[in-house]
Amino acid sequence: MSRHVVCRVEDLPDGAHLIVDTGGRVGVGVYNIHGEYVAVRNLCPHAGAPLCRGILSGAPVSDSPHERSWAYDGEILKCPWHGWEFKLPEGITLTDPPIKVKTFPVIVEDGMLVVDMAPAARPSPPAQATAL
Amino acid sequence: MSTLHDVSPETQASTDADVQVPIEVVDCDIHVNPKTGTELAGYLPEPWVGRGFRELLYGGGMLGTSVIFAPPNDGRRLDAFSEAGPPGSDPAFTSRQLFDEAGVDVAIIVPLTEKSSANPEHEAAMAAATNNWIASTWLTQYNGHGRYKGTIRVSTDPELAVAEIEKWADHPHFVQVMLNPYAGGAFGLPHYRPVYEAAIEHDLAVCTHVTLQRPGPALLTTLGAPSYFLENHVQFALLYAAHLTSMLCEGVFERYPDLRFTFSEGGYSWVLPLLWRLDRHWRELREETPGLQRLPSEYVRDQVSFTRQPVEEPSHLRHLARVIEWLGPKTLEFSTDYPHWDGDYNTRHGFVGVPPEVRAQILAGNAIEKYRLSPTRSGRHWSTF
Amino acid sequence: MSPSVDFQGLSLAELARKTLADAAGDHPPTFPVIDASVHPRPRVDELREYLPKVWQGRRLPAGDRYYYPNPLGDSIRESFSDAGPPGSDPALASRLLFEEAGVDRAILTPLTLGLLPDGDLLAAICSATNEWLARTWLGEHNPHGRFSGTIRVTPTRPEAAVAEIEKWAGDPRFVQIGVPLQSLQLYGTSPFFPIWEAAARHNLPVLIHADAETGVELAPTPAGYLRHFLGFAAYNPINFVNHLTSFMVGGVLDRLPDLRLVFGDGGYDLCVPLMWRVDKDYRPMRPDVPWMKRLPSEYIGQHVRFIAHSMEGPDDAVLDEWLEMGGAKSTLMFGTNYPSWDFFHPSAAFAHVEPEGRERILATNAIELYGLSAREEN
Repeated sequence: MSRHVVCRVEDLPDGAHLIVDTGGRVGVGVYNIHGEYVAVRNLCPHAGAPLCRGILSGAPVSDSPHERSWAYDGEILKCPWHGWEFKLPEGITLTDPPIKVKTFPVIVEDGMLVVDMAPAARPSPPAQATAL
Repeated sequence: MSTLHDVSPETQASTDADVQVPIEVVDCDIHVNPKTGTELAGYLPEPWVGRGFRELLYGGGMLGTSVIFAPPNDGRRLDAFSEAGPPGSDPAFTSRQLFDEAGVDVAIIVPLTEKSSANPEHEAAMAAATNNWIASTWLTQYNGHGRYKGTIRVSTDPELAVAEIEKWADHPHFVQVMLNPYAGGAFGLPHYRPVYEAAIEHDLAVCTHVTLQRPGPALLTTLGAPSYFLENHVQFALLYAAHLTSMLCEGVFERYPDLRFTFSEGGYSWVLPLLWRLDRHWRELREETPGLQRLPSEYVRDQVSFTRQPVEEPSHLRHLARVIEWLGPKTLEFSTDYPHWDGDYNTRHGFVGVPPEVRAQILAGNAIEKYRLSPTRSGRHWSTF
Repeated sequence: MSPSVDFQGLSLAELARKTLADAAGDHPPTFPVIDASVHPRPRVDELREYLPKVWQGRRLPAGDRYYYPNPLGDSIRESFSDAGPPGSDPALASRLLFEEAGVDRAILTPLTLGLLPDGDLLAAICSATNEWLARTWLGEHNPHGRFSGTIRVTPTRPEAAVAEIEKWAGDPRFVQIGVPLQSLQLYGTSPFFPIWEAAARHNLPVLIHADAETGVELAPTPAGYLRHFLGFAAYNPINFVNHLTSFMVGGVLDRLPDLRLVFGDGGYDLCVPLMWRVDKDYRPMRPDVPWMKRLPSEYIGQHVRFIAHSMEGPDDAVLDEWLEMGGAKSTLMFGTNYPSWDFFHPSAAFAHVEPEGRERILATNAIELYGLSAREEN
């Protein structure tokens, strides 16, 4: 099964996520990041944690010691084990060298969010909430 | 990648089969907690209860995690929080994450509910409360399956420490004694001898574990105050290197060939270059240290081990396998550090290039030997006990 | 301290049990060797002449770390002479290093007198030491041009340190800045930044090296004092980790891409596993130090050099592999540590490392770091 219906579009507001059983070992977390949808494999590429049990937050950034500003509000998924920070919807660590968690596109069909697990190799732009 | 989150077929299928299964994973470092301070307060010994000491526990001040440095994720893995209580406080939830999900067969509890305090008698009372509590709960009430083993917490005062060891020596599930690495001086100092002697007499292993580090000076590096937790985390290795150097130079291992000593959670690979240094210095300077009759590295290979978590992650993963080969397979033991944020909950992670028989030794064999564990356990699922 | 002092009829030189001759190996290098670690030392009366009047009457510590006496003696036997304590005789050092040990050029690092409580005095001692070095070892005793020097500064007086750097930076005989390993405050913290900035501005590496005296300092380990020289000598160099980590988390290396650090007491052997650990910590702890942009280990190649010591590292069977694992063939420099008891003889150093790697460690890395030009035969 390569497509999984998640929920109605309006049931996943900005900042919300749902963990969906996709028939594999770990499932995916489906996130609404400021109107962009993405499905994230629920497995941290570092040590195998259930990544989507982590908190969605922002991150302090800085270009100069002792100066901090808050960025990426609501876009940083922090691993519940070791705290690695993945920026969504891209799924890439804030730290270099970058490491990516596996992500899948989410499309809107008839008012429903659908995870498309098939085109793993084909990058596809995240669905836009404007499709509403 | 392992199937971390699957219930293993073996544990699922064997709920009613009372057959023995081999112990393949011993977790040498887990931390359990009371659900509240009240739970622990009930185990305080007199005369401390009468002196109002118990009330100290209720505010959380004595049980709270130090936030002088703020570890990621509030110091615990977030998926260990549950409605059943704080991480590591509920036996069913803990058993599910450790035994079912991480595949641990036997877990050694190192309770951190006693922390440094200036008054060694106060510390002894807290150690006694901790030991009383885990003896009656995690090592008895929750332990029908016998898969939890315990560590005796002691005061930094050697005399009080020995008394506490004597109290628990015959308990079937206490398997080691823990020394606090932050107070009382380097572990080679002669005043620790009675503690080592008591442990050896009762066939208990001895370990040390980084713990809630209240004494301010203990947080300094040798070259000044750290600013960030990362610096403090690096200190774990330098602290243990100091204790190990002290024990070697003062002749602890020469004097006590039956001592089995473990450094918990301080890293591993640094031991190799430290031993190269010590061996080279010993070849030149051994007249100064009559307590070292052999190469320092030989004592370590025979008597000292290190728990693995947080496992080092070289960019070339095979490098760790080389270090294990050079230090010898007996020196390393698997541990998760459950339920802490920096735990190693994956028994496959970090073994690239390690031969299967060495991996088996690290996962279980070394600990079975050190802690005198049975090599098998009942195949029944823990929830049926 | 002078060689005329006797103990049971033996001079101090005779009491020194380690010799340069015994340190020699069977593999003299076939290329010119750069010795990045030679420690000249002014006699106390000599140093006093270079101090301002206000300090000339002040008694000074001897520069001996007596708290951990070395049963083998602090210096090699050949380094004793009638001219003064080991390290005080440039003619003797030239003969031993250039003629007997086969060194081609030497970087001179006089040690200062530890963390003296009065930082003003320490700054004055640094200035006097630099002036002395410039006139003697780098001046009248340097007709061969084989000596290059280190500008000593005290981080406890950042303004004086910067002024001292500005004073000497234009003198090509000085090739680096030198500061003590010992400190009451980690070097990556903000009070010290102007010093590192000045060093980077002048493209001068900063050597961090344990100083010669026990001053007002913390215990050498986080578990307090070790009680034997054996343990102290093996352990103390690894304290470099604290400063190195501090430079990283303090953002100093990100702010100063040209800053180069040289750890003079060794430690490359421990750098490998410690970077594994810090690398692992960096990803979770980035939010604490968001100005830090790279994995810790990635700063090493660009910013950090170690001076090799005779008392560290694995046996020959493993050495080559360990060097490769830590990228040490491009970060390690050779130093004899003259006149110290643990003299590293070029003919014994890295003798079984493949030739290209050995030449990098014994020569090329230092030539590149210090920008040494080819020496004219003299």
